[in-house]
Amino acid sequence: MPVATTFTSNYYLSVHFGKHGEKVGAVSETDYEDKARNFLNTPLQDDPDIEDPCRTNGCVVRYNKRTNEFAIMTPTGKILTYYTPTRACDVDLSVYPVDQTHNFPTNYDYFVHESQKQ
Amino acid sequence: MKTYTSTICPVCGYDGFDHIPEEFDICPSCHFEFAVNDESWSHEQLRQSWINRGAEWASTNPYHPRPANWSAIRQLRNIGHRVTPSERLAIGENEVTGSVYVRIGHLFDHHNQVVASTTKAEVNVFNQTLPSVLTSKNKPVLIAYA
Repeated sequence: MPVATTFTSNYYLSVHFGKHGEKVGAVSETDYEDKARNFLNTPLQDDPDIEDPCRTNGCVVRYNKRTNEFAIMTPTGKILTYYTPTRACDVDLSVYPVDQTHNFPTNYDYFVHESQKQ
Repeated sequence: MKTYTSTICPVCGYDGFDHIPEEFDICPSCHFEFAVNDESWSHEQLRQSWINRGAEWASTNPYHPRPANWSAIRQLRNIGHRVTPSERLAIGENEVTGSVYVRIGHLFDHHNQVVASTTKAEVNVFNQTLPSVLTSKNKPVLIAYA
């Protein structure tokens, strides 16, 4: 299992913080990256609610069904994204951005779908 | 996994990418996340959501400040989307097409003295039907497209 380090670049850290930072309670890019790294590096035995299968390309997709945290990192430990998925049926889409939601039945289903991408 | 062939955002028409976007790229204009959001939604659904919320420049990070004179309506033309009147209201943008040059002539004071003169100006047109001639103080004002 790779050890999460940093986002692939400061640019990607910045754009992902801009889109997802507020939802995960991050107050800065540094805070956002720290939260992502801590989540990805939490030992599985420390939290039974965490699952992290690997995609066929070696990327690790991690989800915590209790905290609803979701993250992906490359086989070399570079962080690709970190956020909390939201079901479309749980929000008012007339005001809530569709791009912040998914339409899978549950957040866990969304995680399974993401982990099985080729 | 979805792949793309263009550097233009298929949701909002942003054309500032310096590479063909791939999974986890995020459009600074509408926040569309490539190969993530379109697993659940069509590009049309994502576009409509963005427009209905005002089509505002999404990015707040220093890498992508809102360009000067940026126009969502103009940008949407990059993907062939022409806004409807109701969409224009949602966006709240009065920009129409390109530059219009107006010869507005002279400005008079209360004593009918010329106090200013303008020979060219850039204006926004607030409706779909552009009159060929406007008037000011009962004098014709010529309009010509650039």
